[in-house]
Amino acid sequence: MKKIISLLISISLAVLLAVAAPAAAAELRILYVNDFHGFAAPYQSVGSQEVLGGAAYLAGEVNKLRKEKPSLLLAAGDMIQGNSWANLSKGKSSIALMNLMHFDAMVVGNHEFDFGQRVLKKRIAQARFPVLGANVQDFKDGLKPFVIKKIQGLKVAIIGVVTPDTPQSTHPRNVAGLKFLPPAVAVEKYLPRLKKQADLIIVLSHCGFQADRKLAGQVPGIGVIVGGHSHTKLLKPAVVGQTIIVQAWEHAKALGVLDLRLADGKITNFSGHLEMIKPVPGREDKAVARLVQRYQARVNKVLGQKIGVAAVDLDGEHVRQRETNLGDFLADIFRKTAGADAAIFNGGGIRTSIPKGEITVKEVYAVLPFDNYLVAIKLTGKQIKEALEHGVSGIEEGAGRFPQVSGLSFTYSRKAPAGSRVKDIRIGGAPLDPKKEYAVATNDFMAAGGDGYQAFGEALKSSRDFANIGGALKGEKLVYNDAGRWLRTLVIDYIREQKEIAPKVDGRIQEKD
Amino acid sequence: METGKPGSREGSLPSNPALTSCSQPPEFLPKNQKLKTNNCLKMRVYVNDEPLELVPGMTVRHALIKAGLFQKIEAGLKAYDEWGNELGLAGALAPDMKIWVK
Repeated sequence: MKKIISLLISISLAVLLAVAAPAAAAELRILYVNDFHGFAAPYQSVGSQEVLGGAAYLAGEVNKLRKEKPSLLLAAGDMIQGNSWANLSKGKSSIALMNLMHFDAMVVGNHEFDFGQRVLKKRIAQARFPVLGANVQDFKDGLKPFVIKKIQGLKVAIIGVVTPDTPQSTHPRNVAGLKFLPPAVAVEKYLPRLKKQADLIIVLSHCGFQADRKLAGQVPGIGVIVGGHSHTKLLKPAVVGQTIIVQAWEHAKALGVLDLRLADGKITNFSGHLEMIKPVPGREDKAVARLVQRYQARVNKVLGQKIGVAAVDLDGEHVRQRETNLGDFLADIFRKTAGADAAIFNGGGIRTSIPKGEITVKEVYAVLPFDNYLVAIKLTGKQIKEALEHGVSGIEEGAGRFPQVSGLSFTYSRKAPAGSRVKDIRIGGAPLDPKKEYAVATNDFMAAGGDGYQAFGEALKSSRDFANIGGALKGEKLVYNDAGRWLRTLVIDYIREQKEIAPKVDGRIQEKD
Repeated sequence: METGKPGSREGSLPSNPALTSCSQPPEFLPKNQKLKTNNCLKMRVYVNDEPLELVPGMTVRHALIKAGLFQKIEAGLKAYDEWGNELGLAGALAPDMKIWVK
């Protein structure tokens, strides 16, 4: 009997020690990614000599590192939108990947809203891990403010926050009825109670490195901020006050590794680095590789889909020298979508033609290969004239800035000096009023001054006010801004709806001697 | 695993104007009513010390285009934040962010 009692005491003591041990000293490895944006395959970035990334290789690295220590795998947002691999399934492929990799939690990024709230709810339901968003109010069914994970007796609270700028970077309908609170307010709300329950507080933040530093300075008591949004390649953890901040660049090109040692609810030691993901054969996770391939096959199938018929050849060849029917067609779609008075687009953004016959998704991708989105800004008549003058100023060398337009017409003479070539500008059939303001649709590239267009930037400089137009928050000059939908998607949807298209060159841009 | 209540407001949150950043949009106003504010619907950033104004939602790539430095990135230079961390071109901008190309 004595032996049994002694054995029971020993077992109880062992159990007690095992439970108590992590509180005394424990190890935790946090593995993290952010801003994956559906980049499932390795690729070479602009200006880089190195091919990096690949979901299968990322998963292989995660598997290896997980075996070494008790680990959490976290995603700091913008996982489901971006690359075609994710976009063509509206993010389903990304969540399937994350399920297979056994992510422990993710926070919504601003781009998680790009497919609308209904789709986001489907993605959250699909996820076998909690999707967090403590500062998103009134998103019914799904987003959780925090999660508490138990790892070998250690309790880790993870609070998720997303940038409050989200309503400004997606279409207003995607965030209709939602309110995005300042991250610090949301974190401060949950922190006191979670501190009592958990050994470590992690904030999973899709707010950007600058905002994360500010948050760490404003709100004491956060152990670690795992960040995203600014695509910062934080090679070593940053420390602000008592808070460790990490972020792992973008597109699965790196996996973040943060090793913590905790004692009595405090981080006593840490080390961290980024593990670059190199597509070395043999290092991939085979199951993830199969999943990537499976969804890529679906992407290829979608790209091959016939979406309508072109009754005429669509000319993308001469878009740098003259008005073409394809230029007119695209500019019309962009003007109508933005509800603008006019549209001005750089011909150089149109990369090829579409021959008469059935149109596939792939052909539209070839015409508009860049990830550009629609913006509309109010320009004065004078600024429109300046933009058009700039557009035809490089016609001799076939510069990409040659404009394709909608809602307006003009004549020009190449014999006149650059800057004085454009005449007879009409908008909506009426002569251009230099002082009047017109809403002009363009792409984000030109709005940022791409191809040397300054007019949109000049207009923005003078913008001062907020305005509520039709229930959506807009700037005085900025009247449309949908960073979550690529131009080609607008075109594909339009062709699908029309079924057959036969655009003509209707004489919007005429060269005069 | 314990989680917070999904989608709940759990009462009103504490009002703390000091924590409201410039980037926080105001409540929607009645239709067509305007609100004077500072320039929160445009983003000012600095590239190599040059101030630039961009549309909210734009990225490091847009700032570099605006600064006329994108070709340098294509040629192999990189963009860094003020703490010397490399930035991805699709990285979000922040108010008064400083970007260096080198």
